[in-house]
Amino acid sequence: MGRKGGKLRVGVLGVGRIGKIHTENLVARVPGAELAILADVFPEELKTVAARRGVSRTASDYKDVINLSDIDAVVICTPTNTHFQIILDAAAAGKHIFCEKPIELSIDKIKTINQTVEKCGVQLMVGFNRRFDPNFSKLREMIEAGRIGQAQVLRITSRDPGPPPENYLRASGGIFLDMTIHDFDMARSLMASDIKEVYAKADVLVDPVFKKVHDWDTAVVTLTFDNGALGTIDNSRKAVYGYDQRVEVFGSAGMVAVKNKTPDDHVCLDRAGAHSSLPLHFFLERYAESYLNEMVAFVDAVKDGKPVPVTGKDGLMSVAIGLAATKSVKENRPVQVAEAL
Amino acid sequence: MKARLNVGVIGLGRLGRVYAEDLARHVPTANLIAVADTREGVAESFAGEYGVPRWYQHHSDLLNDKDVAAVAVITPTNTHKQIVIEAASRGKAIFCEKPISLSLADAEEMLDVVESKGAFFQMGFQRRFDAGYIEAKKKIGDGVIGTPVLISLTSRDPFAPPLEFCDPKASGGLIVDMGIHDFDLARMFVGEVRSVYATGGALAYPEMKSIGDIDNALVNLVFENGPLGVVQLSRNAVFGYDIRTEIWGTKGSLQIGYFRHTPVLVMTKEGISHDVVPHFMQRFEKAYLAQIQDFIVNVGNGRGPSISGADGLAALQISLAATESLRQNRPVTLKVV
Repeated sequence: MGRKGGKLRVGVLGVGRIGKIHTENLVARVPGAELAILADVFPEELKTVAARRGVSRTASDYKDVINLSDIDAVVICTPTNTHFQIILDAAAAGKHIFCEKPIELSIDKIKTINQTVEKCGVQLMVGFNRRFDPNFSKLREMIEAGRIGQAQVLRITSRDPGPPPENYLRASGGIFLDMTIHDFDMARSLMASDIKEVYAKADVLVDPVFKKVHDWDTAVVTLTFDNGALGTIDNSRKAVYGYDQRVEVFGSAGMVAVKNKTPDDHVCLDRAGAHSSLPLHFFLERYAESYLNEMVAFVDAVKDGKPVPVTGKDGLMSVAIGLAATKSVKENRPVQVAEAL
Repeated sequence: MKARLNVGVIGLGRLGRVYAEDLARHVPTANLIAVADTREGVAESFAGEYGVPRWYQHHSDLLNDKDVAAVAVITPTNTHKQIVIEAASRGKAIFCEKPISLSLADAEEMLDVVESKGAFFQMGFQRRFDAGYIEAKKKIGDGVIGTPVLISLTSRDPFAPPLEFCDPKASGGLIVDMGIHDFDLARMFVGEVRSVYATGGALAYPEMKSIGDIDNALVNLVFENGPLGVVQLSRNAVFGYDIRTEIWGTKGSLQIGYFRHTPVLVMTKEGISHDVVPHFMQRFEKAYLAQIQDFIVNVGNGRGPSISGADGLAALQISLAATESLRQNRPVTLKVV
């Protein structure tokens, strides 16, 4: 990038839950980046985060960040419904973009986003952090190395320990676009194939709040991949034993699987049996490494002028699958992903 | 002490031999008095090996044997109807291996005859007699995981049986022949199934297409009272026999099944490894014995069957609906039988 010291100068837009993680990583743990400025519409929160992380420059308006000539890239962690305008503005200003998932909830807007970033010659990476988790990276590595032959059947179990607040749920786009979207992306990434068809069943079986917000808390999704492989995803918003994140890929020469990660590996045996720790409680703990790894990957790709590992197309496809799954539940029929595109 | 129950086994294929051997050697309250198999010399040679006094090539001859009080029907599924009806007509107590038949009409006809003759009839679903499944059922009954909301069942064979066995005309195909175990367990753990959706393909053995069958399938289930389910079936788990069930409830979750066959963990420079359960006999040997013992005890003590004809019919109905769903690529709602 021709900067002093060769560092990529980054601005973080939005310092909520996920913005804080990226801020912390960019300040201290991403060697190729310099966190130059933070922006947020809530001044108190912005001041607190900036002070805690020692970031001297802040802005209340994202435009004041993207118009800075000494900024190379922005990391967008604002609410989903603001992504569209920020991305278009950032691209027009020639900034490279990292955007949290989901990129947008409207297919048309995502298409506009993808056309715009291409036209402006900037890179857009979507924050599907789980791809960068060491467990799942290992699976992909082994599958790519041919360890299980032809991948034939995928199984993802993805369960949250408890539902988010009601207000969050109302704006989330529903379980498939908020939660399962990670699993859809994981499915495409591990199987190295697009998804052709989706059949989904979902219901409110554990928490009545989901009825109130017209969403579902339990779902089973069946996937058919372009290459003929099959897959299932099962989701729950409330697994009382914690954050349940498991994947299995079954193939012609064997199977690879990952178990849940636990804070420690102790086993305690007593008269009632053998006991061990519950899984790491939620995504901040479970996926801490993945957030760092994805930011390093983004920064390195932009600096080296190489393609980012998760693209706008990936962002588009995961939303299309989520919309197809939603339609499938509502209409009780298998839905081609192409119908949603 | 009552007299031992005189039992005959019809069908000495892979599984028939297991039951016959159990009855001959490991069930003290049973007296394996006769065996039958349509293949020339098979019954005679088995009888010689296990000291069974009578052998027949035709099942009707075994059923006409007045000394035979009970029979185990372990023949190809498409022959169950005729044999069960004949057995019931001759007043035999009947143990019938899954699936009960290949069509609902056949199953209903069989059960009508069984009922009208007042015959004892017990279905074979050996997984219900496995220590793991028994314990899981008890724990769920005790409320350990609350109310089940989702069940995931996996059945994978290490390799496909011969093509003539896989042929849907003989076995019903993958979803009927193999999935029926999981549908039975799903009913046992969660309740009646309302609708199904299935997808699948011949992903490992292209020759399956020539008989109109598949080797991998996924089946979604929706239960009457709301819970969801998913069944994964495969004929090509090259690493071994993969039978697992996982049930999630409102208070917790429960997993049944395991990979490791012998309790040996090997650690070398190359890594950490252990063996895998090779096939169904290593996994369910004790369950098969417990199941046939249970049949003998139920008949001997005048009890009802542990798994009824209605159970066999219900599991078949789910299997057939899933097969129909696969062919038509649409969800299928089960009719009330």
